[in-house]
Amino acid sequence: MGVAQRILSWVSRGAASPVAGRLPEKRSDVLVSVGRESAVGDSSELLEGARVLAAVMFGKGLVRAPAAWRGAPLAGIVTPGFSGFEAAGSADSDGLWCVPLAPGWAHGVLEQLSPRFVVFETAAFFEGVWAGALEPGGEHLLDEILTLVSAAQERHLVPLLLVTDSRQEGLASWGRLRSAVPAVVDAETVRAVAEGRTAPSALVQGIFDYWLSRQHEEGRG
Amino acid sequence: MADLLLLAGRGNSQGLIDSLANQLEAEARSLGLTVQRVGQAGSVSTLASEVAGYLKQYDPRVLVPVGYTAAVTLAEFSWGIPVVPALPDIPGSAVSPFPSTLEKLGALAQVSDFFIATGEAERSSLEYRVAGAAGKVLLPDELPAVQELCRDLPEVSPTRVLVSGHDFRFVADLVRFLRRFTGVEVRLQRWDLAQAEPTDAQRADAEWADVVLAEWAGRQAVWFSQNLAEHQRLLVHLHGFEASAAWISELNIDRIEKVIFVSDFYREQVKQALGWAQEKLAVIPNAVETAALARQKRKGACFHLGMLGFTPFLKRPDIAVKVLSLLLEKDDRFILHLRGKSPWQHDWLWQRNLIETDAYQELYQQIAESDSLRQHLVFEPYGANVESWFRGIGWVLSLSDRETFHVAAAEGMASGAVPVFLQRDGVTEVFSDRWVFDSPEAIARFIYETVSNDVWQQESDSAQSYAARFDRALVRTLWQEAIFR
Repeated sequence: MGVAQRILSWVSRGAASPVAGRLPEKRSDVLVSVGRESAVGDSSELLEGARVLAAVMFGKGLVRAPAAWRGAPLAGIVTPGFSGFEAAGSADSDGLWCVPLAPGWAHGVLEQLSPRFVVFETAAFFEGVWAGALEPGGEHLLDEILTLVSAAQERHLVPLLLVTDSRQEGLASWGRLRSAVPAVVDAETVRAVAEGRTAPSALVQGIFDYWLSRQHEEGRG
Repeated sequence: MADLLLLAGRGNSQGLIDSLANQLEAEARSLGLTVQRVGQAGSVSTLASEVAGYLKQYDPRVLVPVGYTAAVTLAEFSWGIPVVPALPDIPGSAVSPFPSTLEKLGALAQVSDFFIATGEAERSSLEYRVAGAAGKVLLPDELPAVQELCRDLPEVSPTRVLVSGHDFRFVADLVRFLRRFTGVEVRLQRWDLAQAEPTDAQRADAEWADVVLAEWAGRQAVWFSQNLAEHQRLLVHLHGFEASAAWISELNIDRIEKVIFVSDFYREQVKQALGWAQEKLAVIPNAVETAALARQKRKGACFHLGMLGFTPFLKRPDIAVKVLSLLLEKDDRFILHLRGKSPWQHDWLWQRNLIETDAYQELYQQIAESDSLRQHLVFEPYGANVESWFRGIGWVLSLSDRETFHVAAAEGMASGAVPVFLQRDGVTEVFSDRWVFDSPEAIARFIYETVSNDVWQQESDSAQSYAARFDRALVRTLWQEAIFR
């Protein structure tokens, strides 16, 4: 049997259906969405929105933003405690800063800063302004975070995912975030590296060094 | 006759399909519904004719195809009965479907009364990503909504209903409801708010209709009132802002059968301003999908304040920020969510209305300059996952200078969020005076005391009970009487 015959034979199998009825009409009406329409745009819309909001809030070139944001070695989504470091969001013992990003303007601000690391702390997805980002109803927040991750990578900033909580386990969105950020460091490592370090920037550098050395050991560096 | 025809489709994830079909069959039977379960016998190419045979044989009231491929295939045809696809096997996954899958699901949403998803995360993702799925996705144990589709509707004479407007947000349920009546055809006609004259296609739709429902009393309502054929009937649905629009006096009230208002307040206002006869005027509140909104709150929701829609400035986002500031003086766990379009997303507002623009700029700068506000305020874009979003919101703010039937407040209440209203004309008539306050300070005090005295849950229950009066089932009856007389 040739290919054409096989296709014809496959197509004509319909007649053999045990309860085949007369085929209903195909829909021809032009349908217009009713209700709240989906407003999910692509990431460029999200980025543009964040740029405008950042400009309106902080001025062009962040002229109205806190002066300490410029030159900050860290930016990201972190809890105020930042895993025990009370210094996040304020000057740490080295005089360095972590810029805590909030939904809506995060990307617009980040793209005007040059931190060494962009930090995502899992505990911050369950409290504060990013609460619910990994849960049903937080899809738009997760989209914003994923956009932030890829925008950071495009600028060769290093995103670090610090697992400081366990509530994300089993959440469907957690898998998406985890696969988007290559450098994932667990809570035990964070605690071990934190020993003797008093500044968030030093902690994050230590964590990154640890992650890098592990990659080398595993032959992925 | 069977209530449900449950068709278990074929797919790569046959185990998931069969398992969900089993669950749905058990749930439906426990509700007393009669179920005819069949399995897809042939291939996809013959599925439609196969299902047509089942329909003839079992005469079901609702068709429930289980499985993505079967559902998408059957969506291409008109079945004449409600279709409720159950989707356990979305390609990619429900939380991250492939782009081509999203397109097909969008088409499916347009022709389905509900979807059935396997879990809360899958439901929320579908509502967020699939155009037209908002509020329509059920979990397997929520079949009472499908049960309602099995109820007999009264016979009505064949009617062609044209719903014309620029925004169909508030008539979603009505349109789905009307389409269930035998002999009733419904067309939706998008008519821009600024548009005064119809296009050729719109003119053809206008000639086709027996009944025209002008959704919003915009310029389309003016045109229909001046160009209606003798045999046609015209209903105009006035929401609020149109009452003070320049074109409102151009409506030819003699050709309008009824102007339907969302609240007594606007009816009285328009009656006094334009002198329209009482018998031409009716009130039907906006419908809220109470069942779809009643979802379990996230832990800590009582610290999250939500304002759904913060443009134009008369919504008073500045007062929301003031309330947040007052609360943060007492407890730094409070968070304010401003969700919706930003002012610059409205062409008519940004840089064209300088008073509005200045007001917003001042507000944004106030937030930017405050360490505390920056870290307790969330700007979230307009989106369709409102039912799930409310899971994280414990308080819904309604602070407008003028707004009577604030739908977002009613939706929030149905979700169990406690409303707080700032005193204004017409608000107590709709929402009672229980949650109405005369200042931001009074609102902040009430919120703080409710949370700190651990009585938020009681307030939440009361708000949810109150919102039952806005349920779509009650509102549908009023619309049915207006449209079919």
